[in-house]
Amino acid sequence: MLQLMQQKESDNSKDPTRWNPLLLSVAQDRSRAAFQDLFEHFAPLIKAYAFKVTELSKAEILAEELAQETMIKVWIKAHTFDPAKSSAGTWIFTIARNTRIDLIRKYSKQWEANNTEFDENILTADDIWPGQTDDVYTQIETSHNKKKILDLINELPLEQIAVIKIIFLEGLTHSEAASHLNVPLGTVKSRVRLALQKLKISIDL
Amino acid sequence: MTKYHPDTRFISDFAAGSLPMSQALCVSAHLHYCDDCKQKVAQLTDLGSTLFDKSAPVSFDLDFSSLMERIDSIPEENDHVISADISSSPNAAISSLPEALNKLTNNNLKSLNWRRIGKTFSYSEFNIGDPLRETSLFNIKAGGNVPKHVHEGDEITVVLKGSFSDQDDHYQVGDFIVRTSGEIHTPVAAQDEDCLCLSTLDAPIKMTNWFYRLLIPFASRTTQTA
Repeated sequence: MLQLMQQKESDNSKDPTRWNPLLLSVAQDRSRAAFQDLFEHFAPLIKAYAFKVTELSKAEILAEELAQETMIKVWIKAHTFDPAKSSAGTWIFTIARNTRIDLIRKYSKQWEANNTEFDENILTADDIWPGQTDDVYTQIETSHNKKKILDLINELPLEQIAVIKIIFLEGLTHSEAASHLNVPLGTVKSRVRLALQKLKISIDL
Repeated sequence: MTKYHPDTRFISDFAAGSLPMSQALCVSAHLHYCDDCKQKVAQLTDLGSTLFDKSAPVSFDLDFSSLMERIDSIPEENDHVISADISSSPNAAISSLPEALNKLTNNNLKSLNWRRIGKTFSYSEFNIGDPLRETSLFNIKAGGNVPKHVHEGDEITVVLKGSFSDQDDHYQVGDFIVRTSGEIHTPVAAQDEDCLCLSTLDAPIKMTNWFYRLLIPFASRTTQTA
């Protein structure tokens, strides 16, 4: 957990659009070299993201599969990437998030004995969780937003960083985070709200 | 204009991808009608993506060439499946519904298995793989009402068409209404139009609390084939 914030940052790494040219090159030229660069950067991050599920045994099952499935979708869906709507990094993250949802659903049929029979293809994560949002959010705003978040995130108190990581990376709900941290639900809610306020993410309270 | 929105907790858990499928379906239905919340989700997704960028990578065993072998073995036409899905045009009659519901209802509300209670109320249940919650569409005929009921679990309702009122307020298309356990209410549809809603209820522990369970005990669950 603590290593998360210790990754070295060059000035370039602060630019949320830095991966756009590579992804566009995959989309337009089907460039394998560009795809390999993306793969080498993102596959280990996606694998880390898979490990952010609570039980290690489940995470191990997920990790390789999530990284592979996500990168395959990046290749197949590259032509749908629109740099005017989000950065390549956010676009790839969104695919990883949705793929993780579907994999967890797929495996939960085996993990949870009481789960009723259902067809997990009736609805997939892509049907519910937006990929690239419509024109409500322009790239200038999103890239500004990400830089702003990056600048502000290191100023958050540790307990607030811990909570937003548990929620946004580890994928625990507010209630699960509360029992994981052994604090009341209200405490989790207020830490998240304070963190979002400090990150200047406009959320009605 | 929507007045009732998912709170920070629902929006955050949704953006993080951890909200259970049935509740996420309700949030996504609300987003279909609410650009403000859509923008919040986009901002929170940026936050998730920023944390993701900053996380410590885990070493990866798979080499690039084996990934490309897998990719090369995928038939070419699959390349276009995704864009074809997006462009498929739904039945105009209900095209104003959120995409996920168009898919669930197979673009045809009438094809669902509706159960009627009384003269004005009917519902149709979905099995979307959330064993802890019951998810359904319900319809109240213009001027009709839902039988008075008490909630044992928490319930989310999203108005999809028409409007309804209860003792607290009047709810319109897009409104995301959360009722917690123990609240009693009697929704009444507006006089001029049927009211169609999506709802998900924490699976009741007692069989007597959810109104249709009361009237049709042991009703067998019906799975819609989409």
